[in-house]
Amino acid sequence: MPELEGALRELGRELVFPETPALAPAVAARLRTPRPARRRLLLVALAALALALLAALAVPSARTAILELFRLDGATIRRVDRLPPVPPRAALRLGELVSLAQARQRVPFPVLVPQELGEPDGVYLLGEVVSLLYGDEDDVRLLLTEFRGSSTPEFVKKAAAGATSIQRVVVGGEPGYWIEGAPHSVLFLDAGGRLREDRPRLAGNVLLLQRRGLLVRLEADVSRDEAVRIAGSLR
Amino acid sequence: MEGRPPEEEDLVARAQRGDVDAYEQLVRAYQRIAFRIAFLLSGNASDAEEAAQDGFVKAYCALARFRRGSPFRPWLLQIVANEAHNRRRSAGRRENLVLRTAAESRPGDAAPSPEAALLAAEGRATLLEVVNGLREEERDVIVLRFFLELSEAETAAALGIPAGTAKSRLARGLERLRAQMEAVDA
Repeated sequence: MPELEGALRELGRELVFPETPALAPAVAARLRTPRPARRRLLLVALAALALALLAALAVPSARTAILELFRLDGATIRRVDRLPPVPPRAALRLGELVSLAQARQRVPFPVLVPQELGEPDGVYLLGEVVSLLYGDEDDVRLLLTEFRGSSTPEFVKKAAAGATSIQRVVVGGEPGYWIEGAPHSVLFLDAGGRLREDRPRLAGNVLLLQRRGLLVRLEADVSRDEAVRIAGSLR
Repeated sequence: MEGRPPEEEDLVARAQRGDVDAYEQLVRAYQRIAFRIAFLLSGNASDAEEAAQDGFVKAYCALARFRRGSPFRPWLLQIVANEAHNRRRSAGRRENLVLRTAAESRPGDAAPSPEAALLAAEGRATLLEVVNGLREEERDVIVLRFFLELSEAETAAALGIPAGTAKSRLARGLERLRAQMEAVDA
């Protein structure tokens, strides 16, 4: 009966809807990288790095060394069987795009660059966390993250999936870990005490190493030997 | 104002590459209809705002799964509608839908359609009441299809149900409305 349908349409036009809120700017603001406080950024970055290690922490042989490396003795490890779905294209949120020289001026440690690869295509600064990106943001080939590893997250809660494999490696005489396999995720409490989650930036494998008081994470879809070779050329 | 931006495909492609400005334009184009869907499904303005905002953010994160060339609006509206739907289950409160009073009648509307003429203001209020009294699943398709004038396909997509299901719910809802309006009239 078209009359009823017409009456319903007419009724709809007579409805008073609440005013549409300004969603576009609010949504855009949420999607753009917020600039939280430095301290929290460091904690977030530490947790991001630590997440790569979580599965490894469940492996007894690796645990002691990793706890030592990261001084996470107080951490509570929690395994989850099912990880939350990983968005296919999470924003990288590496921070501010700077030049290599600027980064070197602004962080209190020497920024290491793999001589094997030459100068990165992008250098980003987030607090005192430096990211060296090879490729571009839409097509990342390799990502190096560097920051001082002497800070200890006050407390970290983690979730790790079981299937990741981890191998100890030695890079330039210093300890490192090669992590591959299942994606890992971490739940942690930020400086404000809120439960947050972080995930690896890239789908590739991870080489994590300590170099002169620095923690360096190398993410790329490369073989272990290649990653070790690249990391070995860090100067 | 609101509507499909002519460069929509280009905006979607840019947003898929991480261009937030492009995505902001898409949100602007669809925020009104998205908010109204969320309002009708969640039942109140604050849940609707939250649902629409979260929906838009989730849609951005899911853009990689959007197949280029397929219609963007229903894809987007479905994500928002789903958010609104989830909020309704937990909230359970519904603001009353409000009708314009005669004084607020839209200007330039001097010549009412024959359908409008059929229904006095009183009749509309009654019809609204009857619609609100429908079972939820029938009410949802009726309000999206007629109050917001979504197409049948969009109504089904927004509610995440097959087109056939939307069609039969629509028919059932209309039938129930008709019967109840007749009962009121009698």
